[in-house]
Amino acid sequence: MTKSALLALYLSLFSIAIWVIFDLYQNYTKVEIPQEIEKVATPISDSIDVEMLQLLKERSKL
Amino acid sequence: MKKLNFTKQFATVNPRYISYSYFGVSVVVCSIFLFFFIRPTLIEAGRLVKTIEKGEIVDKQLTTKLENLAKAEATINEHKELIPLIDLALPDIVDSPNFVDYITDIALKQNINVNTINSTNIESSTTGTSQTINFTINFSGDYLAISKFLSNIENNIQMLTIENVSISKSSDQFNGSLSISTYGYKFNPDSIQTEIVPLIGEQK
Repeated sequence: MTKSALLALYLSLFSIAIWVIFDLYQNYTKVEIPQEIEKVATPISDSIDVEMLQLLKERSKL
Repeated sequence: MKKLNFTKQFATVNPRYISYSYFGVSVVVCSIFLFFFIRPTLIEAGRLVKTIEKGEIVDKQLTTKLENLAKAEATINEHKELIPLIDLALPDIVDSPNFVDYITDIALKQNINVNTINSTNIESSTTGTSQTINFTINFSGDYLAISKFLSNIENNIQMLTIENVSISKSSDQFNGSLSISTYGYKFNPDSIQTEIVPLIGEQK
């Protein structure tokens, strides 16, 4: 086995290693929540505008 | 036929080539392991980590949502006694006879003669959740009574729009015409999405 063949093998191994790392980074590092789940899980506002109820209360007294 | 002696021949090979060969074979074996065993294992591990992280985010969001819902429920409970007023202000569907009764009732109290009441232009939204009815009321009476009559209508809790008021004076009294739009809202439970979706399912 010559030096150049060995170098080719070594580069192949290096390339495969780089590709595996890139593939993992590309597909499994970013957490993306599907839209339909996001729709259900998105928190709602905890405040309810009761101004209208107060106005109705005042009006009902008239 | 001459018998080949591999051991003897191997011994004559340059040791540097032997070490190259061992290294080359090691590289090939490593590549095979990396591609066929380590890569799928890392992918599976990455997928699981991603699923767990996704689950944690969704769990956090749902917990916040539940806390907010509890706060909102507390606010609603605080104003529970006022909620029926919404039904009065914006009834399920505009009840024409009731509204006509209301108008004639306050007209009677203020000594107003209601000559005609016409309901026109009934509009419903395309989804059937809201309704608008326009009323045209022709009446007559003295100035003060008309003023009180209009004031009563204005202060009515039911949501309405006074589209037009016209008053004219005849010999001994005032004649008026009033156009009012009233609104109704019908709750449509079908408009709420009840679809159940898997929360922590990995989408491959």
